Amino acid sequence: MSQIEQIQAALEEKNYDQLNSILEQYHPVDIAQIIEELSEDESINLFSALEFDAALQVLEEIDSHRKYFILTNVEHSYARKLIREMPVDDVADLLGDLEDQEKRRILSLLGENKQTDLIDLLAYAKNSAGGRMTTEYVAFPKEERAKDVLNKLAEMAIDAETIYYVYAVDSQGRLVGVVSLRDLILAPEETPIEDFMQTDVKKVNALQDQEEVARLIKKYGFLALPVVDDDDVLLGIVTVDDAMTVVEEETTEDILKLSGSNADERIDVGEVSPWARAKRRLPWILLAIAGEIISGRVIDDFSAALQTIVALSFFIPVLMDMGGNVGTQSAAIMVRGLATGEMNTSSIAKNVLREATVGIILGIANGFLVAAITYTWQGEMLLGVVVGLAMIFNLTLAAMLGAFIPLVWYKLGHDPAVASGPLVTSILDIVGLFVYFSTATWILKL
Amino acid sequence: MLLPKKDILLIKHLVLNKSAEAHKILANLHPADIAQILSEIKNGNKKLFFQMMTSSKAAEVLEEFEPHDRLSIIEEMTEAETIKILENMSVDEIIDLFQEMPTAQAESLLRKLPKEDYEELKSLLKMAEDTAGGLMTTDYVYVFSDATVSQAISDVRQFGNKAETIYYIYVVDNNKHLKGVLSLRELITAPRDKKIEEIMHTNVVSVNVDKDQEEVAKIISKYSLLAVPVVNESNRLLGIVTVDDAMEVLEEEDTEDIHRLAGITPEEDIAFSKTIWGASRKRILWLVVCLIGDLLSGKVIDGFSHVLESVVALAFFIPVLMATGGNVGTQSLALSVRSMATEELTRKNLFRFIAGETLAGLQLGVICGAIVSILAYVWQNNAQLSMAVGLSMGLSLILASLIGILVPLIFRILNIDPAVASGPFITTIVDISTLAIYFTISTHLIDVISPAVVSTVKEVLA
Repeated sequence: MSQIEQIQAALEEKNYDQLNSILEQYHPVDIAQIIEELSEDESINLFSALEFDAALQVLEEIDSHRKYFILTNVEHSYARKLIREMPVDDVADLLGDLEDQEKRRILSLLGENKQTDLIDLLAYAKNSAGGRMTTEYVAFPKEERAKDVLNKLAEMAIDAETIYYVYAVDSQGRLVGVVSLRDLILAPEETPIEDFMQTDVKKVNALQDQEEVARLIKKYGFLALPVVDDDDVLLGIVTVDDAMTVVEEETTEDILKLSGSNADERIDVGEVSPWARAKRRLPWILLAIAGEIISGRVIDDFSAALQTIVALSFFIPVLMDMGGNVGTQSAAIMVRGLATGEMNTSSIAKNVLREATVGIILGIANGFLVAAITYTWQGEMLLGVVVGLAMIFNLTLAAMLGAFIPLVWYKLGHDPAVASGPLVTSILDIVGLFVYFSTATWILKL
Repeated sequence: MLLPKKDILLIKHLVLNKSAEAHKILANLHPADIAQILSEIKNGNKKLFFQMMTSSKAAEVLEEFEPHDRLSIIEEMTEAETIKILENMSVDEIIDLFQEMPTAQAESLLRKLPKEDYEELKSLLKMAEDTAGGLMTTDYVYVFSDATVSQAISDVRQFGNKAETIYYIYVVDNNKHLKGVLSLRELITAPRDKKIEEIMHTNVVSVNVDKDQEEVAKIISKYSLLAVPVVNESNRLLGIVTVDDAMEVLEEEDTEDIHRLAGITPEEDIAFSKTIWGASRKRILWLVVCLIGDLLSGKVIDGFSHVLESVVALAFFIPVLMATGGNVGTQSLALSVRSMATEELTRKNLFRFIAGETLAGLQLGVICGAIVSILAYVWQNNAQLSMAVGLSMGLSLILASLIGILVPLIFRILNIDPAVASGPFITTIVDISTLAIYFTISTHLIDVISPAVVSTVKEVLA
């Protein structure tokens, strides 16, 4: 019997001793995963069997839809108790995923204090530092002594997500320094924290993009990063595990956009209707269709040449596809280089030139190959020359365009991933086919 | 853009002129910022910066660089300077560096390091680079299960300085078998006379020393850990992997996935891939594979060349059919590969995913088919041709989305990395099938309905 089946059997027989002995071996993250795989009724039964602390930890990890189901189907008073203990940023994330009516039901479970906190958090865009932060952090006046801070930390019924960093603030709540828990423990007990705190604090503005936050956390190897407002007043922190989620979401977004889908950060494998899936893919496809009809017109313009030598059409696929491939490669390298910050973006021309060189090398290699194959296949030396030349031109242009478009888009302040894929391919096909047929008419004297 | 440009210029100026102020400024800067400035400095001048820092700061700065860049910096320094910095670097970072060096050079540096470091490094160097063992550090804090809380705290104070993280304290028995874990917070808030084994958590998430680094990183991310302990088969604690290393692994893997999707072969040797030759070599493999495949598409057209000769207008729609099929195939591929990588796709929702994407492909096929068929009619004023184009578009898009979704899934089942199914590869397969569908349908429609159409079309074209 698999673990899930064992759990289902225990639930069926209401054998809670056995259930608990199975669940004991699991981490809350794993239990959450199990709950997502059970039917709704089973998941409620299992959830109700957990002790409060465990239940709270498990609930945090469950996806929003199931979380909503559980909160609205367990006993009302229990739901209130759970949601009041949940970290505010998790509640905010949950609300962000719900419909308006569902939102109201969840909000009604909350106490007034938490509602105010939440409304503050929800005011920030979901993808900003403010939308990602938690308000559960520890800050002390900068005059506090190391010993007192440690004692207070020990006393606090901690719902702070991380106490690895203690932030120091002045009387106006402005962020002036940071000490790690490690500094605090290793410091002499009587010293005020301002004497050993780090004053060069890395921080982000609440309105900044979440991607920037993740990049800073990664760059400096922090466990958390403070979020401030325009006056430097400390508002919250973003923790390293949230930063990892951000990185994952942003990568998904880049991959989907590169392939020409209008993407959310999540794929939502099961939740989205087929029509919604089709809709987010349609715009770029329609754009590409328009572009490729123009490619068709180009062929139309040369239909006399094509009628004379039908074999010219045999090489349309290879020229079109290879251009598209090289363009996609260059775009992927640029988009990823921009995302990881590895690329030096100061000069567009330099990057485009570099790609052009790569394109020429690839063009020459593939051009010779395709020319040789054309000659062997068709027995026409000149046709081979035409296809080979068109290939060299196509791939060079492809590499340049593939690099140029995302870079320009980025410089203009847009997401570089969005401009790539189908757009690059369409432009390439139009120009590439035109060059191919022009070369053919010229060399083959059609 | 994290440090203002003018600050960078000022600091550069001060250091290059060996100003006394430079010492103070460097001491107050974050190592990552110094690394950023250094990356803009000419190679021969980098050592000036390092000479102005304490060796512990220099070690931190050096750790910010990629291993192969570290090597070029070290080459500027004397061996004595290098040793001093190495002594301050954490063990896992030294390993990364040594793995970049020629064996003889690494060997000679290794011998000059203090004895206890030598033994440890020697055994770590033997582990495979891309496993938990290769990624872990041995600078961590552990306490014994039978110690009291106050003994443990004094151990942490004593050994905590060199450790990479002291927020997780690992509990071992006398044979160093991993027994439990405690957070630093739990330790300092516990009654001083309690035994560690009474307060520790026994349910420890740990990884085997041979586990692939990507899986280690995913475990850290999944459980939101700051570090994960590395053990051998008999559960003996060997080291820890920290969250910052995990983030780097994930970033590398993401880059590999994106590049693979675009048909770029991942290159182990980063320094080489920075040259233009290296960059070209990474991309040529899939291009040649696709070139051959695309010529097969040409062969398909060749097979129907008699049809094309009588109706040249058929050629006008080759680009739109090919490109749209390729686009839809690539979109599906990206969805499929990414949902596997993030583990969003599970056995439970697999069927719904495939069904949903197939339906989406059907809708795209119907919409695009209708549009293209209208366009074809308006342009060529030929009902049969317009029908052939529209039908082919519809069929080829359904097929394309199926291929895009299923090929990586099949690769996964066959234990091939699903990201190997690249966009160019899928496009090539889709194109061959699209053209076969298009010409088969056209031959049928145009021949069956009325052979006279052929001559009509010819007249229209003339």
